[in-house]
Amino acid sequence: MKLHLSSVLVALILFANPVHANPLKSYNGDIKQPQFSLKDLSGKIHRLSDYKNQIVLVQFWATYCTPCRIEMPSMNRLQKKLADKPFKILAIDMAESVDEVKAFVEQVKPEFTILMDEDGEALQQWKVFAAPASFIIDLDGEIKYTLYGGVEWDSKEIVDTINLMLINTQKGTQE
Amino acid sequence: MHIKHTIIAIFSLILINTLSVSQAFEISTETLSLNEDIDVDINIYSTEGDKAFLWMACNQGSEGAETYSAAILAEHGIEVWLPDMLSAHFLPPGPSSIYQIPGEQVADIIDKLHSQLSDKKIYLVSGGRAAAPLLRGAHVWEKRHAKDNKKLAGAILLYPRVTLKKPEPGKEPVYIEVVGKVKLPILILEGERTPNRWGLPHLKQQFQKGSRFVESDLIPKSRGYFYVRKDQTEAEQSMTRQLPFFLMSHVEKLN
Repeated sequence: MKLHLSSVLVALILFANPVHANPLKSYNGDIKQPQFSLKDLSGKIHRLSDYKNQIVLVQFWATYCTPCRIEMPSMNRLQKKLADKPFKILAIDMAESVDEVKAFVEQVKPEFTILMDEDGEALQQWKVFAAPASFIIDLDGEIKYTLYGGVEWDSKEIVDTINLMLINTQKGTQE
Repeated sequence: MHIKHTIIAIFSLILINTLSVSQAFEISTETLSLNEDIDVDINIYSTEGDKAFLWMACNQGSEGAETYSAAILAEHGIEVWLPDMLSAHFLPPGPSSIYQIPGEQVADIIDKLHSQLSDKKIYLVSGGRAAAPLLRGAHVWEKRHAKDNKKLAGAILLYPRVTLKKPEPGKEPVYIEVVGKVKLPILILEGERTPNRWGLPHLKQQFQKGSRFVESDLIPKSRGYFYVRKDQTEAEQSMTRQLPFFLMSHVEKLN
């Protein structure tokens, strides 16, 4: 019997991580092919479609949200852990002013892209009613997982889940 | 121009507060026996005037901001009843405790209020999760008084937390059953600095299924639970001091 290397890796990851330990929740809502077109703090426009073929963590956050502030260092670490992978973090501020966000960024120092949803249009389209609200977007641009509340983003469970998504996609591409 | 407007606004506020007629009021505690097991202590700030608030505190029977507001409201002619539902049930302070209070008991208190203050317009007020027992109580009361349920003048819900379960990103919130069933006019006052403000259109839509009037407004520069927070910002401290005046100006929207 010939074993495929990626299958072995998948099995190892699953064995090491019981499903219940994963804080990410599979998404079964009705948002298909989510979109946005938002400016970053330098005024450059980012569209979610610009990040096709990457796994994207889209997070809606606010400067007044304490769990958002607490988890940001772990998002920095996650970005570093997956630096050699097609993975990107886009953190969308929930309708605050550029000045407020710049002051926050100066203090907390997120090392990922901050986007501004100044009129709250994107967060309403994405049905966000709590913060932090996070979405993991797969390589097809679909919402694969969601998470409400703060977590340690560089935890083994989350890193393995994202790696597994990448392995499964690569496997699918090879086959 | 902006500074000129700010100065005019400050002077107007001072003028309103100065010209407001202060009224004498009394503070008393009444114990209401709801059934064989439950005795509820109600702190009453009684005064002359045509309005009364039944205020369900978000975490316990009477907290600093609520008692402070009650005294000022009474001074301005609004009687306030603050029932201590948690002590009556031997429940610890906290949002999950107040959520458990049965609607029947709240309806009993509304009945008591009506029997004692038949000449006043009665408004229900709640903070946070206390909206749940308050609305359940209003619903029970409306069913009891189906032919004459307009005696309740309305409900003011301060940052209501009435979802049935934890919110899920990408999905519309699911509310407790009573949302959409109560008929009384509803005024929702949500913190400007809370994600819940973005759920207001959806929440209003759900209330409109039952209520004859639903309106909302934002509480400036404040988060949910702003007046019970230990990490209050300066703006939230200021809003806490302004809360009774904010309520006085907003209650008129329900008329």
